[in-house]
Amino acid sequence: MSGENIRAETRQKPDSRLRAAAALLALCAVLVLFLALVQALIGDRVRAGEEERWNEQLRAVMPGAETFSEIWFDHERADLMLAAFDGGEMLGYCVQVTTRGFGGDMELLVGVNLDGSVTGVWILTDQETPEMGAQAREPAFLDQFLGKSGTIRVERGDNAVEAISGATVTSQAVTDGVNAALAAVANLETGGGYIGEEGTV
Amino acid sequence: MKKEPSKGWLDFRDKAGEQLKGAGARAAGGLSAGAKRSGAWVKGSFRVEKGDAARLLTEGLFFQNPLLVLTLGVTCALASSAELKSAVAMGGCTLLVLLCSALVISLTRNILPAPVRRVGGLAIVAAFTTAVGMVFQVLAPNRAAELGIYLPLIAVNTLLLTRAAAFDAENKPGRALVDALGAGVGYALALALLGLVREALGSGSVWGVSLFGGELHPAVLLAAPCGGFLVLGALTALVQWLKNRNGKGEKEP
Repeated sequence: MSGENIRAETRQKPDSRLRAAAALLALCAVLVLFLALVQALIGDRVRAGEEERWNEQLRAVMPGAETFSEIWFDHERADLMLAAFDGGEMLGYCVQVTTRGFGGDMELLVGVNLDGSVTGVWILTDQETPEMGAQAREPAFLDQFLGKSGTIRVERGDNAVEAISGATVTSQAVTDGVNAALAAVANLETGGGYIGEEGTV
Repeated sequence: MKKEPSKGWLDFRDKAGEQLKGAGARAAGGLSAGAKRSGAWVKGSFRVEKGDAARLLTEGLFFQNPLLVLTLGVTCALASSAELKSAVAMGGCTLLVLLCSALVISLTRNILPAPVRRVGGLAIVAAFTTAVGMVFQVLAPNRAAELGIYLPLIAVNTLLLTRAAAFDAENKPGRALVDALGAGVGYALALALLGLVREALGSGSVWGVSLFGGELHPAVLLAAPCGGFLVLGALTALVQWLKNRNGKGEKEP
């Protein structure tokens, strides 16, 4: 009697748990298939859209450039560096750097031409305060960097840019990022080679 | 030389033929009966009383508005309502995910064992968030980039979670869809209102178009999240006042 009941109970529990686990597994399998279908249908367009946006941003910081190619660079100085070409002619470099802003890390894209001066600055990601540090995205601020080279300062000294009122940390952060990009390119050129064959410096 | 078929084979062949025909007829009968039963099931699952539907809709839209009365989905709302365009985008995507997940969860509520329903609901919401996010990225890549990480966060929008865990798992697809429509549209409208106020007062523009030719200096605080909370609080108070003004004041739980 009691022996049978105990056996019945213990037989029930693992069975329903097994059912539950199997059902969950089956559900997840169906969901994965569903997402795989969505991916198959529009995955290419999503990726093409992302690539198109990235190319637009690259062209925005290096006007006139058509194609970009990866080159060797010092990974401690920049996140990414691409050589920009117009046809067969090399125009300069597009450098992606990370800098510390007010609300967190900011990623900048800086275009540097072969003279070592800035051709464009684009803020890829930022976590700055809206209406304050976020104003750094506006052309009124970023255009100040065009044509500058060497080490750029904020407010004081020559070769300086004006800070955004109320957002000095952000302004300094962007300036630091642009300086880092310029330094990365300068380091590249003294290092001896831009577009080498694979592996050469 | 061709062998004459034996009698045993002929018998077998005829009997098998009869049995197959019988099975075929039974199958056809079974299919049509099955089709009738499915048709009835579909009708039964999706039928909603008119009064019931009206009540679900008005509650979702106003009286139990997810954002302004129940305070659900606040994170997504605050993250996306600095601009009206983003608010509308977020509201639309949330509505779409809510409709899809409500449908699927209510359809599978009897198939999944009880312990699995809540987790399964979460998985379903997450799957639809991913799908809708991808479609949105194709349709409006710039807006999707603006929303950034908050678009995937629709998967943990408390409005969706509560509907998935409770209502949808216990109601027929018809009711679940009507409720999802009411709550989703209510959420989207409230979000749009929030975005309108925040953008107009916090950035001096509406839908990207500058108001008063840029003369008015905006209340910048409202564009930041804390200002968003303030506006949300004000709108919540407004809705409470509207609800209670006709003496309809319910005792809040």
